Amino acid sequence: MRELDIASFEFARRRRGLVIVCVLLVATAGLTIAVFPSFGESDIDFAELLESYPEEFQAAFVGSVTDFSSLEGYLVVELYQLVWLLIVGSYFAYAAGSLVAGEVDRQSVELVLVRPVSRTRFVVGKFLAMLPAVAVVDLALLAAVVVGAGLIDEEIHLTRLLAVHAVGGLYLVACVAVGLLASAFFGRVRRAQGAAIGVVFGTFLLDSLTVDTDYEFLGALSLTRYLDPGELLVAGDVDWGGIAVLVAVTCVLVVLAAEVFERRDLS
Amino acid sequence: MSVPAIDIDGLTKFYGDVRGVEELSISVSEGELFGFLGPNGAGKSTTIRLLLGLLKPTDGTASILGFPVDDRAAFLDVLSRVGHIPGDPRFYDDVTGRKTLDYFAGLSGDARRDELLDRFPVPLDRPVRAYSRGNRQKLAIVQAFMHDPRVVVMDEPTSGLDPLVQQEFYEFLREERARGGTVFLSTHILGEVREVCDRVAIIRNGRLVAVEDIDDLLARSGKVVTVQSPDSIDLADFDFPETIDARIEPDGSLRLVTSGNYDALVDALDGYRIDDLEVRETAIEDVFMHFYDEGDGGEDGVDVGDSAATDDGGDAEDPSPADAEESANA
Repeated sequence: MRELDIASFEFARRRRGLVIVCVLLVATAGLTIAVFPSFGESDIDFAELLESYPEEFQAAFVGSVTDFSSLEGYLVVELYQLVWLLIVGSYFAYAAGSLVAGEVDRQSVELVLVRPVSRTRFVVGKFLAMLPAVAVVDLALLAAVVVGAGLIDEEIHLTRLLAVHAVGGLYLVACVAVGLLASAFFGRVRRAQGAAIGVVFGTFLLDSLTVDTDYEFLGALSLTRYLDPGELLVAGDVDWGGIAVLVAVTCVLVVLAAEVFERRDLS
Repeated sequence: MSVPAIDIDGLTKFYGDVRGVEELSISVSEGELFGFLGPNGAGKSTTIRLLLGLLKPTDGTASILGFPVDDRAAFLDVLSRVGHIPGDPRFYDDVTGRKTLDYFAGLSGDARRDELLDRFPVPLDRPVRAYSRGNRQKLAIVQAFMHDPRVVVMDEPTSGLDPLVQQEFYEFLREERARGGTVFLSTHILGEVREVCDRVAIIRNGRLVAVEDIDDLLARSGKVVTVQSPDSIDLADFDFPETIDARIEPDGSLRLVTSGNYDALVDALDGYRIDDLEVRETAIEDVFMHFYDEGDGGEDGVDVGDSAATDDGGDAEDPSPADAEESANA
């Protein structure tokens, strides 16, 4: 299985970056959770405050949450909508942007693809390398939230939390696939990463800004349209259709990336 | 030896309107040490990338051990018997030499790794980032040969190697030939061709100029006559049918490459006072100057400095031949 050789080599090279991301994410989660008790005790009515923001802002950062007094609702707004969907999603698209383009740019690809490794296997191997990376980040945040909730003596719905992280993981994998396609298409790392982060960030904004307008259908282009941390964590509703779309989009993007890379000149 | 080790047939690559290579046809037998000579930007790297399937030809085809590069599945199979040293080998900076080789071993094997490392030692446990150019090149040699390939394609393999290692490498290549291995190496260093190659293809501006047996080439290439005179020398006096090349050097001396007719030469020299006269065998450099001097435009600018510097076995110079070629191909 040469894909696995490629995947494990690539993953090993990304370990250090991964540790940094985990540390930052866990620190963010820790701070967010640490603030929650004082947040609940304050007199400010956050529901009212948030309602005073423009709808687009709410769509982007609040989601479908209506209850901010529970830790779940608070976390959706403060952590999952913004940090998870937008920042971590963009990070994985960006990181995946260098998977293939990095080797083409650096020309190390000339040492790999002159071995009995097809370009498709190469692309698939690179994709596989990011799966454990997503899993590590996903589990790190999950652990941070569970431990953090325990430390402030708050109950958190564990099954729903797991559901958020399961679906969120699929979302991040789809972001990786976006980066992978950009990476297979562009010969330069910067361009591939720029395109990848642009697509994830841009469609996120598109999804938020077109809510309740005539152009709402445009938001369907965004991956964020297919998962709703609020629904999952606060209401416990699993959107199976959305999950199917995320998985399907990922598969299509990986196949496209392999196909694009098969047809490209490498120089 | 029915199937050639390498068969390039009408290979053409255009980047838009820019010619990479055009109508290239070369056949290399198994067990041959084949040189592929041309100045930077002539299309050597493009040819090698086409041959290995990294680029798609605009026209024509290439095959290795009988497997055409455009038959993806079959060609992948043959790649397990192929080794490659790229023009400017780039590894993974943060990874040690050992782990780099482990990785490549997983993809295509490493039966000869230890033997090669004994011969071309590198600091295995340091990250490649810390490697000198020479060590990187040695690592490239090890990875290209460690799976005991039958055909090795190399793009300027000695650039960055110090002269001693270079000689060791030439010796190694001759041993590989003795074992039946086929080597295809591109170079812009003439001395290298003379040192190791049986035959050479000469390329300029993306076109094949000649494919020659090295010995034949040297045998029929005449002599070099150098004349120093206090008089001003008129080139027209030396324009015999046998003259291959005649030029006035910057110091005012005459440099003539001729395939014979020394009577005419002596007669012509009669009109001049002579300070110094030298007649010597042609060095391979003189022969190749001949190919590059005539024909379309001098845009590829053969590096005369190179031929002088490599006359004595060759200092590697021009640390970045790939860059020059890169910009020509862009």
